[in-house]
Amino acid sequence: MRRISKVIKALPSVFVVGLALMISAMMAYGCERSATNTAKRGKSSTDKAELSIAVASSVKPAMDAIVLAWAKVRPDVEVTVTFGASGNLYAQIVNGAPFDIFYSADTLFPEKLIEMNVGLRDSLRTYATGQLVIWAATATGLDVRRGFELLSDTKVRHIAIANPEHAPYGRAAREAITLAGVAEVATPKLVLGANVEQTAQFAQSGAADVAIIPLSLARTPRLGTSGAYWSVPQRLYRMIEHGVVRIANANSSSVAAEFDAYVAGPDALRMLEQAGLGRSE
Amino acid sequence: MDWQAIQLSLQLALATTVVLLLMGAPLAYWLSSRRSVLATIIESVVASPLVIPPTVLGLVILLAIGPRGPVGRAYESITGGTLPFSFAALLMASLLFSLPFAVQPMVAAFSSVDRRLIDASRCLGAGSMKTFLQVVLPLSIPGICAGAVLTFAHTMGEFGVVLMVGGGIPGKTRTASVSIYDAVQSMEYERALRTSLFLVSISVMALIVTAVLRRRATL
Repeated sequence: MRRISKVIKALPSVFVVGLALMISAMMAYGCERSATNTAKRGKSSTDKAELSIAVASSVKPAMDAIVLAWAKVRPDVEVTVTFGASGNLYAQIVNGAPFDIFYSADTLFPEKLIEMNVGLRDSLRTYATGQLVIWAATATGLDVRRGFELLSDTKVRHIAIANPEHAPYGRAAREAITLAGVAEVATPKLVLGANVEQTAQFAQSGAADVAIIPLSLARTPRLGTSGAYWSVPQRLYRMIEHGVVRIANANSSSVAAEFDAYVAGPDALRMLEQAGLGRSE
Repeated sequence: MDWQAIQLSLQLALATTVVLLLMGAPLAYWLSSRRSVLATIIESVVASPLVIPPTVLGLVILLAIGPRGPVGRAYESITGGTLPFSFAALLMASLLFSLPFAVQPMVAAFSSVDRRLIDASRCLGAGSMKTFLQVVLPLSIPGICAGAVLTFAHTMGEFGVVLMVGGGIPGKTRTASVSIYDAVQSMEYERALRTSLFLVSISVMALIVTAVLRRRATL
């Protein structure tokens, strides 16, 4: 009895100590960050420019290659790339996250930022186009070339798509299922991933039999070697346009503009195309 | 507010608590009465969900219960159905994830029962089962309640594991915390905050119950 009461008694104090630790850690981190920021800024005026990019995680493979290539063009610029869900990055930018430019997985978030005067109106453009594929792991023995007819197969019990409520690729997947005329059989089989990566994971782990995911994901080595994909015909869904916007009070606005010009150029376009984010195929 | 999701969370938390109390009590009693190496190892394994990141645990569970995993294959050969994306899968994941929250307070409670009372009960002719049910259990009620409350509150707010094995199907596997996440992603911050407030009030209530039990235990 004494031991348990001791444990329970300790709970609130553990809570308070934990909270205090967390707050102090956050403060220390904040100080450190602003300290390095000012240190870097002080330096940047003399030798090195800085560029901070926020990128939707579905664009990661292409953006990694582009940033690497750009480092050869402008070796004097120190680039930091932050990957995340477009919605999370949007919320961070609205609340003052120090990004110079934002590569979203749709056009809605950049447009919202412009509406709020956080994004620069003239900087908005479509930098990539997403395409939809049906993907199945080799281990399932399913032939993805059967396309939407495959979704009606009784062997397919779970179909993973990203949550249509907030994921553009999820919305497109649902649209395609409806237009392909298999909504009635497919809808009860749907399971929803929080984002496209998780959706792919459902199918890769075998928990779901097939997944409807972006071509850019199906092309990654991880999924490319463990399964096969079938491109969903473009008449079945609205194109998933990826928008970019520069942030109004960015620290290095001119460098950001220069970087985006490179992303619009032929070298970067080829890399986007390779990653499955080309204008069309 | 997403009542369907809250209802599902309540169901899941309740089921997890009941099952963990029934299964956890014998385990906790065994752990509290043994000082062997095996008991120490098992105690550490029971505590391990505390240090494993939820999404990692979720992924491991998903792989195990999927049609290619060992648990999933066994389940399919018996029932013919599949486990992932079902309430049963959520329950299984929650049981694993909340195990330390139920077992640890109970171990503490059982081991704090006066050894002499147990010896007296045995001397008076009661078997070990009878001693457990009529001496140890009644004396450990505050600790058991604490375990139950912690398990319940913990399952109510659980996110990472449920997200991985659930698949967010409304009314089936979309719990309150997943619904909050979805609302935030859809920029419906108000809906997210309302549901969050409800979750927080449930957690605070659970902590108040724990505090009351603590007072009772010390009186």
